[in-house]
Amino acid sequence: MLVQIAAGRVVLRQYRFELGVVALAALLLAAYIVSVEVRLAAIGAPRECFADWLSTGPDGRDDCANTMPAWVALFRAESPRIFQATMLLPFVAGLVLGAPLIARELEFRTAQTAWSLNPSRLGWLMRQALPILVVLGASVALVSAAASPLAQHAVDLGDRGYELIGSHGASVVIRAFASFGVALFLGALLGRTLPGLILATSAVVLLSVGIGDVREAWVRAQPPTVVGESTTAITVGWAWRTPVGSIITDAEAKAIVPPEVAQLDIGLAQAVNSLEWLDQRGYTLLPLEVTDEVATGWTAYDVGLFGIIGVLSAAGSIVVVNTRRPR
Amino acid sequence: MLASSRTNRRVVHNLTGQSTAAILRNCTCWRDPEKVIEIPLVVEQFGRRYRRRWAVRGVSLALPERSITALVGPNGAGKSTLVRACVGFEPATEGRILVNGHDVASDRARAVASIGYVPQNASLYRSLTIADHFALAAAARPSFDRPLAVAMITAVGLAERRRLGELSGGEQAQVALALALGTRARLLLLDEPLASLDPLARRDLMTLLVADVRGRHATALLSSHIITDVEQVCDRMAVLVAGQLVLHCSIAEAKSRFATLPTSQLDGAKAIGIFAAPDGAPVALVDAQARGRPASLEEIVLGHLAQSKRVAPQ
Repeated sequence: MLVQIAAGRVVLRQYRFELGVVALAALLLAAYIVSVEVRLAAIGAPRECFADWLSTGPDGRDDCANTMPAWVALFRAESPRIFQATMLLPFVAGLVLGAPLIARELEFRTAQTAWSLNPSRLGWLMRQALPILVVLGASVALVSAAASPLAQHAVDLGDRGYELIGSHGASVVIRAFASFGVALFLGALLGRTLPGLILATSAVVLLSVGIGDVREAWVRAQPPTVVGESTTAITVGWAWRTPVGSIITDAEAKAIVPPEVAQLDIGLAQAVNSLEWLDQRGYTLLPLEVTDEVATGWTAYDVGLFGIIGVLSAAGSIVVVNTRRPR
Repeated sequence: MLASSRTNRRVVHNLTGQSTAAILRNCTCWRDPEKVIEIPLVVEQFGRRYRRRWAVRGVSLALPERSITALVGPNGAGKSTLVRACVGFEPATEGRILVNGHDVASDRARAVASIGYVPQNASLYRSLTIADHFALAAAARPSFDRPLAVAMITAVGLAERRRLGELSGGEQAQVALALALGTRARLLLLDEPLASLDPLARRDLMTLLVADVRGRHATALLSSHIITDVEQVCDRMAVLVAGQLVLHCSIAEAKSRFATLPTSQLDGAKAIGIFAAPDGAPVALVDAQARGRPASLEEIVLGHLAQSKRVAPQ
């Protein structure tokens, strides 16, 4: 056990630059988030003011009116960049730590020594990756934990929790591991650190965009509730309330519009004439919405998808390490 | 020891009868093949092809236990490919390699576990200290003998705290050898470890190698260009030319078997190979039955290289 710990320390020393950069970035970001939290707390806005602020704004209770504007101003100034940073950090950290782990061994030919000393290349990979993963996990978990209260403030203040997925909580850690796995795999495949890092960055961007598209499609596939009043619900389509109070779909409503009116819609971006015709006859346009609570349910799928990417890329790395000829 | 003997008997039994016979027959200089029951390394009709070019083909050899075999040959002969294949770094296109009874292709972990390997260029971590390397080796091999490795590098004037990046090529080779010998592996594969060393360092390294191999009954395959050095420490030789094994026997037997004489005195006798002496005069390597003076190891190698150049190898 002591021997393995000693070897783990050597691995940490091998990657001290990358680990130092990641750990320092995480520490600075976490410290900055905590400092913002402290500044927000110093304003002394009572917890009850959030609901009051949402309904009445600055014209609410006196104690809220005195503190909330300053609180909201500070929160609105700081939180966007903090959430951007907490969303970006796990990807960058995973890429920076994952790309060189196997690639550098191949690039500098040290894999020959490492793989001849280690009877099991899988065992070698585990010994190399485990200390790095511990530091990576601890770094992003720290940032995630620091950002969680801020994310709760955002939701309390009427922001969509759905849009904050990936900025706090377990998804931050899983995204870091997925990014690490992709970089590890592509670095091993190419056997060069910099090209591996560039390719892995491209792959992670593509995967993130792809998962973002899947997320949008998933939300649109959720059964909508006609609300129209919630500020946080996500509009996924449109429906109409008839003059007698029943709800019909947008397509059904358009079918009611006479063809000579609908013909005038051609070439326009929106069916303005049809909308006006329906409006004049007592039909009311209603947004079809998915609530933020339902949309935030994507978090589990986000964790699952990035987890699968991480597991698959780790498995790919094992295959590459087991079959690759060291130079 | 008992387990070891069982393993090695299994090696012999695992081989097909014909292949075993072929390998033992090819090793013409084994005086008493029946007594050779322990074979740490068996290479059986090994071939490795890169696209259309064969780097090594049809190589069969077996290293008896406690032997130090020199693997010699010109650049590009396939020495490194053969040594790397024994560590599992080069998959066989044809044939197979058994290390202590374990097929390198199908049972690589067990095969590698009994190998100590020194790559052609000491491939060590420049940013780490010698002590760090020993720590990594100890984690990889529970049997790693750290005191031995430390004693080896101390003997050549190196301190454990030195970073590899600060060391000369020769010193790095010493560390690589200490790592390999520290594993206490039964089979040592050294791929041109002498190339970057000055004569004194070469002598030190050879002394360490011989002491270790003889001291604990290990077996070594030493690939090298420097024939005069390997002559001093090796008891067997294998000459590889253009990917083919042209000679594999004990050094003593090779010396008794071959002779040289000026080409003008051949008198119709068949020359194995003709090469130029240091003074430029053509010299023929001949079988010992013919007239001539006993050939040196260098002349034996040169003669076989000349023969191979004359005959298209592939």
